[in-house]
Amino acid sequence: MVVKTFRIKPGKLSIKDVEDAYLNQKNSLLKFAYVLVDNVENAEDIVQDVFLGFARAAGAKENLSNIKGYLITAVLNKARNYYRDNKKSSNETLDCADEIPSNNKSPEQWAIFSEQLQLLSKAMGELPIEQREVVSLYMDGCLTFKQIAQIQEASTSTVQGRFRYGIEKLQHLLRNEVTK
Amino acid sequence: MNRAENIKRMYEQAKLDTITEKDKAVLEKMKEIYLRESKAENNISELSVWRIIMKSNIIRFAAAVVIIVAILLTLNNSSVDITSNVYAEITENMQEMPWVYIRIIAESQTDDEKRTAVVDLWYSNNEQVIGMKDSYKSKYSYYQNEKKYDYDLDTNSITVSSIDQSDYSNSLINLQKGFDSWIMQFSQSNEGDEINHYLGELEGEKAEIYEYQSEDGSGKLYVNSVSRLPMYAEFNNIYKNNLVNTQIHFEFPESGPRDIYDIGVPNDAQIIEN
Repeated sequence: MVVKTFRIKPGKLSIKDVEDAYLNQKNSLLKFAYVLVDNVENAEDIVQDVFLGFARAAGAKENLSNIKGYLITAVLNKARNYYRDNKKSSNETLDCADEIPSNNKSPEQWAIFSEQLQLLSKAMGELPIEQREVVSLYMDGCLTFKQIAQIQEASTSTVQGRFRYGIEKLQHLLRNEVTK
Repeated sequence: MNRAENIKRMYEQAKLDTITEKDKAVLEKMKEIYLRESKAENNISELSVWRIIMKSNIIRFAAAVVIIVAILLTLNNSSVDITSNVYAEITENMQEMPWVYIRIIAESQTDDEKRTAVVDLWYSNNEQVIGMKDSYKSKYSYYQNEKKYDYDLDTNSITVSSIDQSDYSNSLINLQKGFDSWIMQFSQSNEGDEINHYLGELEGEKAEIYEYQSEDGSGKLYVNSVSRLPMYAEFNNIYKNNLVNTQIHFEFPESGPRDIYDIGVPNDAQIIEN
């Protein structure tokens, strides 16, 4: 995995900064959104909206000193809106193989997700939302538990507990995959 | 390897590709939005705020000094000689400094919106350099080398062009002309304004404070009591029914920007020789 860095740049962003941010961050954001919402189309819509909002903010000369932090937070917020608007049915399981998206791309499709990522996303969908957020942010490797605690407005120990339970459940759901 | 690391490794190794055509479409849309917002921001925020201090034909770096003159001229109402002396002393002291750095922050407040424009200016009589930076462009004119560098944020490019060395002194002459015309306008429109001159402090340093109140607004200038150099000025004016607050910070560093990159232009900007 490419190490993602927080880019600190004083002042305003040029059009090239915006382009670079898109090229450098699109794949990791799509992946991040996908494991959060477990839905290809919604993940794509979320990330596209986030990038368009980012371009708008950069054009309006807003001070975006932490590009990665801005983008991750924006995806997280949109994912929360998605949870709120699209409460998932609780009887979905990993056995719902027909719901795993096909890699035969549709004309509108943006991203092609590997089978491994689809399985991971499906397993993540089994976790409560709070645990899913913590595990996703951990896997994306950009935030500490303390920073995640601030985002979730919870204590660090609560976040660590969510992480531990989430990982245990994922390990159970993906027991055949993680040992490959 | 523990469980968490196993899961993380699986996530990191999981592949994802994007469709090139869709990438291009999203990127084009982003650029379009960026440029549209950028133009709107420039038109609204910068121009409307700056018009208030840029309506005369004075070059931009002179704007801050002009406003000082405005205050000092106000003092003319009570004593022409004293004001002229103060003005002459301050400008003379500034000219002797190796570098002058001025930051101007103008804020325009309407009922539902606050707009801010920031301009940084550097100039050096010794080096014959004038630098300027605002939120969408930067300029660096190096008169000794007869080169001018203009940076455009939208295209991330620096246009290099030639200038005449004598233009620097022309700029100073224009500055003086600007002072004079401004003085005349101001003296005619501010007769009878209330003026105060008293001693105070700014950031731990003794300062002489010149303050005026008029129907059009108010202003305050801090001059260092020891060095007799300007430290800070602040003005509140009504412009087109909007309150405009202008703050001007002065510094006199030993050295200044050596090139356009020193005033914040990215190193990867494309160079265009003109």
